[in-house]
Amino acid sequence: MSAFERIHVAADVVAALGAGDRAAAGEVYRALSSVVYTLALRLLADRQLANEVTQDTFVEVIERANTVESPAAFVGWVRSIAVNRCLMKLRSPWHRRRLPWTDGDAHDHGATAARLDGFGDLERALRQLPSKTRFVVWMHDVEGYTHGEIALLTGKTESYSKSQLKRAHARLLAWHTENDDGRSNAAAPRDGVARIADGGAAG
Amino acid sequence: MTALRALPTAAPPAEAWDEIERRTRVAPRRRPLDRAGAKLDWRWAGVASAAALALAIGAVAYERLGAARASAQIPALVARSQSLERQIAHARPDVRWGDGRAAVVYRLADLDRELAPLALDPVRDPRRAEALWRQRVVLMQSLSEFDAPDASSPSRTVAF
Repeated sequence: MSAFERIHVAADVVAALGAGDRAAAGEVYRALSSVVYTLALRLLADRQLANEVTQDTFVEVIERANTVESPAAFVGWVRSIAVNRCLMKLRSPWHRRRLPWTDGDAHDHGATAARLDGFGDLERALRQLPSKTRFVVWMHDVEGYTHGEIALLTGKTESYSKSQLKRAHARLLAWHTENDDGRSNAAAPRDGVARIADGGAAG
Repeated sequence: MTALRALPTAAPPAEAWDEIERRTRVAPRRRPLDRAGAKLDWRWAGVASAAALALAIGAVAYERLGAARASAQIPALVARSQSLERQIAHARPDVRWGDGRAAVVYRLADLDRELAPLALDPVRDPRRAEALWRQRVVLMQSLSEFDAPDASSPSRTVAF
């Protein structure tokens, strides 16, 4: 079950938000900000962009809350805004160039990985996936979107979504296996470390 | 991949809400006129109404003239901006960016976000659209200067 589906916002709070009530806006933010930010962080793998998406999403939610027809669908509506905002970032030619720029440099990548230490190994593995693959696996496995829905969002085919999902599972599994081996035999250095150590010894 | 669902949630920065509040804050509504305390002089009211009407007509005419001028300039600015963008993309697609280039790119990203709704309907606010497109052209020119042979020159300036 998606984290969004576990959240309930009362109909009177949605109505008050639509009427421009600031207290209701604060209540909605407190209820949904973490899940919106987490979704953006998982899809974009960048804290600054995730923060921007969170702010943009809530600004849009507050400004357009008077158009919500069904309070029951409110949380899903917020999620769809957040997903669209993430897609806008991923599609923007400027952000497309910005994201590889922060990832491309080996030193910078190390620094970013260190910042994510608190999120654990799987978080790091997810971050290492290409952005489109990461989008598909998160939307399908966590948010529960169908391949048809993902195809509509990304402008690709269902088979594209399926192949990206398969690719993501294979890469996450490979990463997990590799990581597990490394942990089970702490004395044996991991692949990259081993190569460096061998090279140093030979030199 | 149920493990993905078990990943912990993260909280946005504490100042995020302040920024959202600032962006969504609307000007306080003006209080309605205290009718009981108001004494109306109908002669002055007539003069004031006529003056206000004349001013309004003048302002509308001026606004339309300015908006028409701005609208006329938008297509040329859009074409120039897109031409520069194509040149930059083809010139050095694999370029590694330094801080100056990144700053221009961030500004362009923000600008594109502002332009997105206006690009769909430039007539709604042609002056704003024209100003933004003009700014985009200047930024594109700044960006293309980074690809120039003397890009390492310290005298180079970045327009914002």
